[in-house]
Amino acid sequence: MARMSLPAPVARLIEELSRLPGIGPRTAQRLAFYLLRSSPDLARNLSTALVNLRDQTVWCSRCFNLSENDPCPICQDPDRDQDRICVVEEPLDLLAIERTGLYAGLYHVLHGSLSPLEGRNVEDVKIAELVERLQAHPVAELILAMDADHEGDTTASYVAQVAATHASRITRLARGLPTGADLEYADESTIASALQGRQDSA
Amino acid sequence: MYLTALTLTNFRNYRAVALPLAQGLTIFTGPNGAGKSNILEAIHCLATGRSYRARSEAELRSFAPDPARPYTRVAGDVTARENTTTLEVIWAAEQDQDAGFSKRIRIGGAPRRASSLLQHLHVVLFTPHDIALVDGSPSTRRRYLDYLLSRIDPNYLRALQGYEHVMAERNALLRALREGTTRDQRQLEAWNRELTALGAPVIALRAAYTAHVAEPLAACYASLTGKSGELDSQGAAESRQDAERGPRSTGLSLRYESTVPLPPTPPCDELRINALLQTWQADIQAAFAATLAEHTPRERAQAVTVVGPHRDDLAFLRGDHPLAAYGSRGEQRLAALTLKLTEIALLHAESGEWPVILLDDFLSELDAQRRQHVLASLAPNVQAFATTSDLQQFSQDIVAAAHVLHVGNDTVSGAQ
Repeated sequence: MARMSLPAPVARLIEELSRLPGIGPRTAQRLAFYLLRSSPDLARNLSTALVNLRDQTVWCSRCFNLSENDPCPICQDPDRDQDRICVVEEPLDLLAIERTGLYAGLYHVLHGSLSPLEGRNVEDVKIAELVERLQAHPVAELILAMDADHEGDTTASYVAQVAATHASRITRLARGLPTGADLEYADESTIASALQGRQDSA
Repeated sequence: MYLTALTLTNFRNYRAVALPLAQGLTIFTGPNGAGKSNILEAIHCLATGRSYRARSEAELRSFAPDPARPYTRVAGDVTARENTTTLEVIWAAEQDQDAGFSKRIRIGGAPRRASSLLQHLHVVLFTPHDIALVDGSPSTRRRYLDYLLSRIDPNYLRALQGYEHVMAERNALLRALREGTTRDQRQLEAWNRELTALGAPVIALRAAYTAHVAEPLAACYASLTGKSGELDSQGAAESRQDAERGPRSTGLSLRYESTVPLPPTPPCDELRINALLQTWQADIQAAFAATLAEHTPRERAQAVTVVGPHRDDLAFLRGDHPLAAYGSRGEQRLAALTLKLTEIALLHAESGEWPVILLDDFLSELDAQRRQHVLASLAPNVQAFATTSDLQQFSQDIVAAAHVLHVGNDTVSGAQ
């Protein structure tokens, strides 16, 4: 007796989708059937987007940002301040800083913080590449913009040590109260950082 | 602070029990195995988010739960500084069988982390196992210090948790260095800076505590041994001998034995990390860093962090002799009792509120005079809960002044 199972292309898609983080077999099934039932354009556009994702993007060979060209537009822009480099953990952190519109220097994306528990040591992030870059072109200021957690702190501390002779000044982002926050409800360590990093009132 | 109400749902042998509670002493009495200690355990869960008896939290679930309420819950109303807050700990079986048993904490109806409970309800628990504080392993004493200091200063808990996390990262790095998957030695220095920055306040507050309680501890021990008499015979004989030798040799003292050579402890008025001398903490951090550097070869070989607050200990001394090695059982028990009694006064001094006292089958361990002494040492409006299978252990006037509740048939009832 013939038993019905899923047609191979559907089973294949479900299998591939369920490899993605946060997607279990049930979600993968739901997504696959959604694609089957919706307009053919959706599946076609999605597949093109997936192919282009890898074919049309590169990591910038200078700053390791995600880009369509190498070097990336920021590294190629002569109007950007070549004497400042801001070090971030992830490309999304770079975009967050870009959105402020306040920073006109260059970047360096480490692709992670030091975390031996997660198997990331200096060889696994782009720190050696940063040092090489600084050796070739020392900067006036190196801004360390890592996450405000223990891994971020340690990474910043390590980078500050190995970059010490290649930057006139090494700074870290200030820590403290987020805009719009109620002082009363902030936790003690946040208030302590804000107190330690207080500034003269204009 | 005191509890005005306690509600148990599917907790141990209680399907649904709601108890109004009063200030002063409440005695739970009933036959062995009736579930007297379960009530104290529930109060302890409210104060800390966890049991002091259960090996697994699954033990807390009732064997015959109410099918309409598929969870285990302890809730209590705590009154402190004229405000009443409802604390809840809820254990529920997860839909996903593998995820097991999940725990949620609510304070005033809002979801919170378990550590937030520590600030809302202070309890001091006395059990016959307290002697382990003196004769048990160093980890028992470190846990005691950590729990006590976390209640006094939330920054302590934050530093301690950070320290443990960074140590796990550092140990992983030591393993990677040993296996050769990473090479740069300077990474270790970066982790050392983070580790010592978090470890220094932990060491500092523990050392400050040890200095802070020295006097009240010695005084409390002296008053307990002064009423001596029925202390086990060897202990009593020793106390008499010691009394002849002078006060220094009889006194009980604590010494914080650190793996890091510590600079002398400066005086401090308040047991809070931010109130401790900053220069002193910086000196401790420097000493910690230097000790780590000395031990680097050993750490590289063993791939674990071998010095730091996670390896420190607290020694109980009489005169110069460690009680763990030289004390009699009686002396060790009294030293543990002294520490707990001092804890009550300390929590009161630091928070302005008396903690809730839990006496789990504890008073039976003491002779009549000391029992009287312990109960009399509690301020009149302190809330205390005691369990006993034998009400005769208490003098008539204590029983007359106490609220006596009978425990049996999986329920609790008032005095007849």
